[in-house]
Amino acid sequence: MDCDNYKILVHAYIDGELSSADEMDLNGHLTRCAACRMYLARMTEARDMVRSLPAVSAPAGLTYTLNSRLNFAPHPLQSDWFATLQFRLLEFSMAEHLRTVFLAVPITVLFFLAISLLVYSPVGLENLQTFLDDSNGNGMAENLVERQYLENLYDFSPERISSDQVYQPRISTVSVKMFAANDFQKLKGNRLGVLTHVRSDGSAEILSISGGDQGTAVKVRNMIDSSIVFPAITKGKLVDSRVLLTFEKIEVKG
Amino acid sequence: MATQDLTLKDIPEAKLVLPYSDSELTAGDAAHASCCFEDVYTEYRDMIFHLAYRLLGHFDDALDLTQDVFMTVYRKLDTFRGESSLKTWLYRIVANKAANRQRWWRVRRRGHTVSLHELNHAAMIRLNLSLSGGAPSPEQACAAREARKNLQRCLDRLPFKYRMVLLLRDIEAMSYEEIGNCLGLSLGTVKSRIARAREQLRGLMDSYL
Repeated sequence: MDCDNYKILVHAYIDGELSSADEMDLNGHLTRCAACRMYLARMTEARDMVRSLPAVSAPAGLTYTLNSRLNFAPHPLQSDWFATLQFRLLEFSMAEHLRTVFLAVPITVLFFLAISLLVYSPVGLENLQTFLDDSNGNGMAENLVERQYLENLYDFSPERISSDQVYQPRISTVSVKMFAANDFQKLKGNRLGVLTHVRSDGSAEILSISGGDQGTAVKVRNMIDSSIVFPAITKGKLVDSRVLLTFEKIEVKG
Repeated sequence: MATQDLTLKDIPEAKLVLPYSDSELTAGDAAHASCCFEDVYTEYRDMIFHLAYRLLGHFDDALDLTQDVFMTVYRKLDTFRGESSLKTWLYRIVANKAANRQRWWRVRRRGHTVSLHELNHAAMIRLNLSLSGGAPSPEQACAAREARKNLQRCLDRLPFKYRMVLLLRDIEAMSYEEIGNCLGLSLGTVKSRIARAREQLRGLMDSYL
């Protein structure tokens, strides 16, 4: 054994916890090693100083305060969970649990921040709207499939309308929004809302038109009825296969 | 003069008033009848307070901790099955509660504040010593007090796990095995922690004294 091992034995020796064999071994080493003898003296001194600390009696105030706390304590053997909870809340020592509280507060704040970011970000709002709209029973996935199908079928955009067509109306601003049928009644201003029913072959049947002046409404109805133009579905969702198209600005040529 | 007889013990000692009597608590349960709360409190309050005071190095904290320990004992005494000794069980509660307290930074910054209670307590001890006649000279008393204060400071600067084992060994005179049972440590860990604790304490004392 080297000196480091003997140093552990020194403490057990000071504390009277050494077996007789180890003690003999240590004694033999101590007679040879001056450094370990010095170590033993220093450690014994340290022990003696700690032992010399005077005993401190509990102050009389302890019993007074303990009495008042015990008065609130529920019966240790018969208390129900509510009484125990009540007592624990009463006894909750902020100082003792402050670390827990200080950890819990930022975690809670971060959690709510994450939730609000999810909900109130542009994507989150859209998801929320979709979720709310879908809450009447329509599966979102089903609508997306249907929408994709329509997009593929009617890939209309002003640029794609062939120039050799006889009648060539053009919708200069394709701003297509689709709403739930309820929102249809709320359209105001110059916007034109066209509520259509999309047939299985992809053609659209106009259910109603609102907003805009009468002349424009008639023109748009004619356009859609004649299946000459069906605006590209760029954004939005289908509700019960009814599509509400809103045209921000309509310019019909031809 | 009447004031010359004043000692700390003259402060009227309150009697522990339990909302439920011990006989009521242990009624019909012979296993628990052997340890009633009042006896535990009377026998161990000074030991626990002393340990708490040396562990935390602060009078008010030690008072709080001792109260907390006895509140826990009051609630949990029925769960004490006698597998370990009562002393070991009590000191385990002290160790857990002190560790909870110790983790909070407030304790580390305590050096900036001095409790009024502590001042009064120190003043009472000084008064007591000077009145008791056989006291050392004021210079000697002052030096001894300063040395004790420095030693407590050194203890406060020890890591909590080392302070705990050292105090259980040197103040409470517990055996290595009892310390191991109390703190849930192996015998080897207890040995090495005591060795490290004494070495560190000795180093700190060299720098202070």
